[in-house]
Amino acid sequence: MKSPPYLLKVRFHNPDHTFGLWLPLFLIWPVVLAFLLAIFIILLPFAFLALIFTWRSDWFYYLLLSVPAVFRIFFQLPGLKVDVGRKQDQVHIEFI
Amino acid sequence: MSLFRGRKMTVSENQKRILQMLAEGKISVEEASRLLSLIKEESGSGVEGDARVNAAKSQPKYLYVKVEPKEGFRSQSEKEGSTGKCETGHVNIRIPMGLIRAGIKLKALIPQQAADDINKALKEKGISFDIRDLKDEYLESLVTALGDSEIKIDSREADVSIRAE
Repeated sequence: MKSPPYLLKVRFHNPDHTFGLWLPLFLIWPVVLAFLLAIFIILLPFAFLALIFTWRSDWFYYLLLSVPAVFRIFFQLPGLKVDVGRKQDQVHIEFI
Repeated sequence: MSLFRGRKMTVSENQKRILQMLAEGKISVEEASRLLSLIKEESGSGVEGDARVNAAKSQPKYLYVKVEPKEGFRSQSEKEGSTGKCETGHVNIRIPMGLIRAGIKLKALIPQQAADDINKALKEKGISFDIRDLKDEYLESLVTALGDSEIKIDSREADVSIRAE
């Protein structure tokens, strides 16, 4: 079982400024989860209404499938590292 | 059946023992035949199991993409600073394989219209490929191939390397 990312390390650097941040995702994660669940619960009746009145089942299908897809991606984020630099500007993003 | 419990015993040794038991009259021809066929099955599944374990062990976890500007271009860009014309930068990306697999699964969520637009854009770039035909197996084949080798692109300005580990 994969675990969600615990920390997000972000660092921007240019000759004038340097900005670094360790974002504790393990603190944000429960809030985001609750928020996403709330959004899903709010949207669910609308999706049902859309399904009943317009018979456009694809919206409902996308809504249902997008939730696990987003979670799957989120759980696979640990280990992702992006380090990009151009001239003297550098950006470093890492999920731990 | 204790014949099959000792994993260290080779298949040929087991076969010899069965034939010996047959010669001594301890087992009948039918029993010998059944035991020999069992050995064959067991050795086959053992080889498959070992292959599966080895494949799982050698399965790469990350895809690395690295773009490193060449020495001349790097120093040129450093000298020129922010006003220079040299655009070469460095890129160092480590992508978990699981993330790529999850990304490929997102194709199921691409609406028809968007998929058509993507295909059209790809065709304009000279790539005739239907995004909906993207399959997990393609990635697995690519990853397996990358596990044995490394893609290196040597351009005028930078070295590009792609590898899976």
